[in-house]
Amino acid sequence: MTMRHARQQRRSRLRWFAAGLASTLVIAPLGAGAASSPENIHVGMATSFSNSSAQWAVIPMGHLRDTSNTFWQLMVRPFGQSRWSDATNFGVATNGGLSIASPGDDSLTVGTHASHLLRFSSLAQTRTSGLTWRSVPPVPSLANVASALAQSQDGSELALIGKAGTASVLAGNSHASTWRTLTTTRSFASQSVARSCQPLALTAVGESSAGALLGARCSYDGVVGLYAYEHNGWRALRVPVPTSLRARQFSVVATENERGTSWLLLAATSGHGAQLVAAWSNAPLAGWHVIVGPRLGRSTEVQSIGSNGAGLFALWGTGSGERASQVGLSGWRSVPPPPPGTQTLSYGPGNSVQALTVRNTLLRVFTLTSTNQWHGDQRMSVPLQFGSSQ
Amino acid sequence: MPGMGSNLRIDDPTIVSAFRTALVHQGIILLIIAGIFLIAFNVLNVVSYRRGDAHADAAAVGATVIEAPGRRILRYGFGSLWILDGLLQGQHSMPLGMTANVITPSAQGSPQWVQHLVGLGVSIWNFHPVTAAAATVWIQLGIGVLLLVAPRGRWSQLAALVSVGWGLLVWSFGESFGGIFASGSSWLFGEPGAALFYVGAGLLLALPDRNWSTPQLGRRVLRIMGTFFVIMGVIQALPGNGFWQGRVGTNPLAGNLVTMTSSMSQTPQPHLFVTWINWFTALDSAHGWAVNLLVVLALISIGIALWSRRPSVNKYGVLAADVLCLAVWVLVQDFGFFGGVGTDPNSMIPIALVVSAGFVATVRFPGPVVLTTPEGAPTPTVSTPWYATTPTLAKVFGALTASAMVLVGAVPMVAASVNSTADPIIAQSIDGSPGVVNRPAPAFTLQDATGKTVSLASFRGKVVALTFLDPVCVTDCPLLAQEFNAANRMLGGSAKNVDFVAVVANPLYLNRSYLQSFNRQEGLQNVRNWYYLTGSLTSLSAIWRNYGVQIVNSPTGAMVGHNDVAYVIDRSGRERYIVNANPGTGQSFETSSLAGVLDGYIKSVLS
Repeated sequence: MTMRHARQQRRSRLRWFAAGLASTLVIAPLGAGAASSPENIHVGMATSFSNSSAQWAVIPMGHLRDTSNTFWQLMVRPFGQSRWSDATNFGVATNGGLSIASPGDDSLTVGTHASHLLRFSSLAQTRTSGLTWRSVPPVPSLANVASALAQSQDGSELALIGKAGTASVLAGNSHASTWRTLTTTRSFASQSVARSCQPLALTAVGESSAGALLGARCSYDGVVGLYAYEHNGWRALRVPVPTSLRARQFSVVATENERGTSWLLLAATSGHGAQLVAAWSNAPLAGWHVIVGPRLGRSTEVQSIGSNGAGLFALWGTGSGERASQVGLSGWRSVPPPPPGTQTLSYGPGNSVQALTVRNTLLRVFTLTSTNQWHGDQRMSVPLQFGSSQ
Repeated sequence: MPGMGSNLRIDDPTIVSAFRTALVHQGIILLIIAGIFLIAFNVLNVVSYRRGDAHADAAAVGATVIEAPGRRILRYGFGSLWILDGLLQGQHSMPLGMTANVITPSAQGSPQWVQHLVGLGVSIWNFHPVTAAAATVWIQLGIGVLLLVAPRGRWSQLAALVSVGWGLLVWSFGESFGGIFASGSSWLFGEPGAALFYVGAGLLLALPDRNWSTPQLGRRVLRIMGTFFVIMGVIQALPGNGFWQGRVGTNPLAGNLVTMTSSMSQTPQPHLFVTWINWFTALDSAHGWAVNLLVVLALISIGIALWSRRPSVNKYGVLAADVLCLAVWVLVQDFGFFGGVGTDPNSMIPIALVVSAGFVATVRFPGPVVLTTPEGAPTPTVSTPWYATTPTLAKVFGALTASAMVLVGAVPMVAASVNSTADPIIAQSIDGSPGVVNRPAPAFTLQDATGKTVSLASFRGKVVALTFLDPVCVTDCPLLAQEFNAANRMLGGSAKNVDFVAVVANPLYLNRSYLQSFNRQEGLQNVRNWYYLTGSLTSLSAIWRNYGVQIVNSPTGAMVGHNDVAYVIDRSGRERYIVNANPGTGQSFETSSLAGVLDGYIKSVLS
């Protein structure tokens, strides 16, 4: 090798080194930025709650990886009966999902999410634990969120419709015979009341003793976007955020009204995953108490949320199975790992807890015993009509 | 692009019967055309004989033009291949199987723009499956015959250019550019597409005769093919494409070649061929790496041999290429044309033909030679039939008939491709023939979506197309509504004499708000002659019963079931047609076809 060649080779190495260093300096911060960017947590539509006459649950059945052959089922267990039965007999294909709401009496409204070629959501009501139904005027396609439908004690309803980022809130009168638009994402974001949140999306609707509630996902970290509708206008409700979570982005995932206590389930997300946070208030317009809950891994999906009679529960999947926690006034408490295939939990009278598991067309119900074991109680085969929506 | 859907099997008897009928009809037209040509040439011959040209004709008996041997190989080879391809296109599965089983699968794995482009061709074929399939038969038979009967001159060049044009269409729309844009492509499986070699051969045949008189053309062909073989060898050698492994032990992941040959062995074919391909599959399973190495080395060696300047090396290269092509054709491509939807014998025979023709063309050929009757030979004095005495006219006759063959296919195909309404035969094959009746339609009185009371009597004086739709149905009803709307548009000015009426077909969602939502969803709210009607469950139940509509409510989350039916009611309120209005899988060709059928029935009642 000549001296000239050696010099050339050194210069070449130096150039490569400089290029590599420059690339590292440019790419590394981008990578770090990506890691710290918060991810929105996905919350499934499976849910459960009780009204005055029965326990209700919404679960997906069938071929769960094929939306055309996933059939969302409304299951009911009237009080005084030991077995669950299928109440999905309201004459519409349920492949898009179901949302349910009840003012707490014996009535229940079910909204069917649009699927396939249907682009609006039908609504049906029952007062007979699903034996008979009457239709309610439809709404445009319900939003694909867990809390898309709510009903107040006077029977008036709230519906969150449309796609994330462009959703609207509709209000129905006491018989939901007419619907009117309360707000849209764009118009809401332009209001001064939303300035501290700068909502990215409207994420949940609910009813409280103080009236309609609207939850949002805020662009600003450490801000909970919760609003009450009063006197034909929106009012921001201040939910305090623990210091440890002030760098996180909050989404209101669900709202529940349990015996006069309003409950919120919040997801505080960061680039490293999500933290579940519950908040409750006896006087929603006044003060909220915040309870920090379990931390979920990155890309964990919350399969189901619902009411446990005195608060909320959440069920989420991990690589090795499902995990669940419930929250009440005394704080978060984990539930023994539910059986494989659990789609939701259901809380009944006397603090009984049941897990509804699904394998294709087979529903199995397990009850949590006093020794914290899951005991199989019921098997039910649901004759799904695969291919009926294709 | 998902295929033809579950409602329409590729051997659907209605479509198959229509396809055969179309072929027979077009065959008869061709026979008539050929007969006319025959008479015309006989007349010409007689006239020319009476004018005293018989001697000249007779003198021409001995005149023969010798075609370059390399060109002749290509012409006979590809002419025969086009004829074989045309005959294969005549298989009964072609109208419905071509897009679902051949074109669409071949496009999978290709980039989006290729799939989009192929989709255009698929759409035309799906909208007019019988016309397209019959057209393909005649065009390919015509090209083949034209190549065979026209050895040189303008007719031969015309045949070559038509071969190029049709070959390009087949290569792009039918073969998705031979899969060259798809990942994991391999020469063994037919890439870069058999049709590309038809195109290449057509281009060579279109060259003037003088190009065939020197060895240069043959050498260029060999070098091009040599380069091709080397590139194919390199691609074959690339790791990660799944060709270096067979099936090792119990590992369920088989190499691409094993997977391919295993699936080919499932194709219906003579048992002997299955035995061969199974043997090769077993060999490749056990020695996948060695088999691929052999293929790679063979391809590159052949490529290098074809580049050589030494004719003897060329010769062995061509021989090896032919043997390898033959082996791959039999053991991997499984002859290419079994199974009912095989459209051609795949790529190996065309490749072997081009290589062989190229090699033969490397031998110097003195140019087109005209052999004439030797001087002093006795001149025929006896009149001989025109076909014996006028070879030129006979060839012109053959060429014209072959051209007519191409046109018999091409003209309907062009006409169909600009027709945006699918053939009625599709709807007929899904729904069968309509019930033809003439009886009073059951009366009804209901409310429309605005609350206005409407009765069947209020439509008196207009033709009524009546159906039953579930406003919350997620599949058939929106499609059926669109078919009604499409039929409405097809009627044009006649639509003012027709009303399209739907009665709600769900026992729960009877509220007018559902009808309004459905109308908005389907863009029907402003269609002047569209009426979506509802009423009390009692009155609706009576109407459903009177019109034979069965409503089945599923308790498990499926939509309400009801029969898809449409009635065409004449101006005096009498049912005239009962159409089974299943919209199939909702693909555009099915929807369009049913709209066309409805349009036809409505027009027949209007008239």
